[in-house]
Amino acid sequence: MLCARCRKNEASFLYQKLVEGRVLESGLCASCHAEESPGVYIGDSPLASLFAYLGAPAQGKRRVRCEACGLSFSEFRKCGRLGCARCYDAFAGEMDEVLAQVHACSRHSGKCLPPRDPKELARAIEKAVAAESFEEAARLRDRLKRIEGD
Amino acid sequence: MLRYKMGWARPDGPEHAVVLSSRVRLARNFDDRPFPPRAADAELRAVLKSVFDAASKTRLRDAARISLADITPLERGFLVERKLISWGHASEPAHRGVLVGERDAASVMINEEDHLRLQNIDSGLCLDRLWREASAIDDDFAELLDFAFRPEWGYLTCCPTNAGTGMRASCLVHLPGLTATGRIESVLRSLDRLGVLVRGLYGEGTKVIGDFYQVSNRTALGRSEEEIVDSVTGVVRGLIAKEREAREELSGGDRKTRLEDLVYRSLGLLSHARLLTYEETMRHLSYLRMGLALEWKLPADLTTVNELLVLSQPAHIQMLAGKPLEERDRDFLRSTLLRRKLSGATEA
Repeated sequence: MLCARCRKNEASFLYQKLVEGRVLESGLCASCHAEESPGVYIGDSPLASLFAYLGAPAQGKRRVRCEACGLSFSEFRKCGRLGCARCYDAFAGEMDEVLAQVHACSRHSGKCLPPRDPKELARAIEKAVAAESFEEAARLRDRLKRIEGD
Repeated sequence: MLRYKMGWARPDGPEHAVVLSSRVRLARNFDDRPFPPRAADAELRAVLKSVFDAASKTRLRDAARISLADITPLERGFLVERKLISWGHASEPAHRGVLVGERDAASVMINEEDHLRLQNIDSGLCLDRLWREASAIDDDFAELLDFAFRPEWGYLTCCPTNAGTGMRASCLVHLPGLTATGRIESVLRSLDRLGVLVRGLYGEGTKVIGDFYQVSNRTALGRSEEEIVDSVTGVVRGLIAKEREAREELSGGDRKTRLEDLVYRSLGLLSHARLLTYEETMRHLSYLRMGLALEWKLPADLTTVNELLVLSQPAHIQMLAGKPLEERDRDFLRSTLLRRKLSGATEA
């Protein structure tokens, strides 16, 4: 993404400005950002790291396209937005790298969407109990009861 | 619409002298539908209907269901200022919507960049409670809708910066003391290493308006929601301590008169001016708020000031007038509102 101000350098800062009571966001390069906001240092944003990464020359990327929505990886590189959930599967090889770049980690370790299949659910309950995540286990048990009740 | 009560502006949350509000947002998407920026009208319509229908079986069953296309641009601006929708969401109203729970405490933006953006917001520093509440609403919807999730990457989102937990935990903090002592820049710089993102609300030119900053988690993947909440809360607690120190320093010894002068000038200006821009109002409400947070005996109270921070915004002023207004007319009406709200007290 090019800097919205000079239109020459790559944007690496997300800049917010209030105009007429409306917050406008634009991507700026480091020097324009420094000129626009000399007083306050706001720091780098994950969006900035994403664009910095996507803006760097691609090396040996596969020509790949998501079959579900038609988005190609090169289109994603330009806009930084994925087309649908299946894009993650279509670009699986690349996504690990993209996510690692943005989050400094590419593996999820938070809340999990509980499975819908009762057998998988029972396994997830055992796992939660083994990990002493009793609140999570109770939540999964409630879900199992509801599914079995349907 | 003006009658909607917003709980988050009440000055009764934990640490409210420095933290105005906390907010937890979770991004969720359907597994089998294109993300909104790439979706055709029919897809967007189907998503909006599914979410509205599902809501009636969740704990948001009594929430107001608003289709953005059914309301005026001014009303959409009002919802933005209430933090219920984003400007991006308001600018493309077709097949977009929002669910608004009681007191604005819980809401869901539909078809913004992601299919659902669940939001819980309240006054003061309370991210852990908000996370639990948002998670319970998420559980309700997850029973009814097929959310996009992969065990390795977590919840999938339109922009990879939100993937994983899909969570943004943020606090709106008021740091006039650190600004007045000139320490704000070094303090913000030191936060950079702590995995948080700080955003100010910029005015025309360069200055952050009203010394309000939003502190949020920088990344959403790789840490659990509880870890994210703990880390943002920890950083905000550190900021509270530094801000309190700065305020104490400013209100002691020789500097006290200077600070009093600043606060009373602001009070005078807000209670007597005849034309007030939004920026000027925010700047002076900020000083007044600092005086009140220091528990000075001022002829105003925190509830009124917090309320005015919200009511002074451009769309709110126009909603008060019941019609769109030119900038000068807004400035006039804003000054009238401020005079009225502050006058009873200042004449006493």
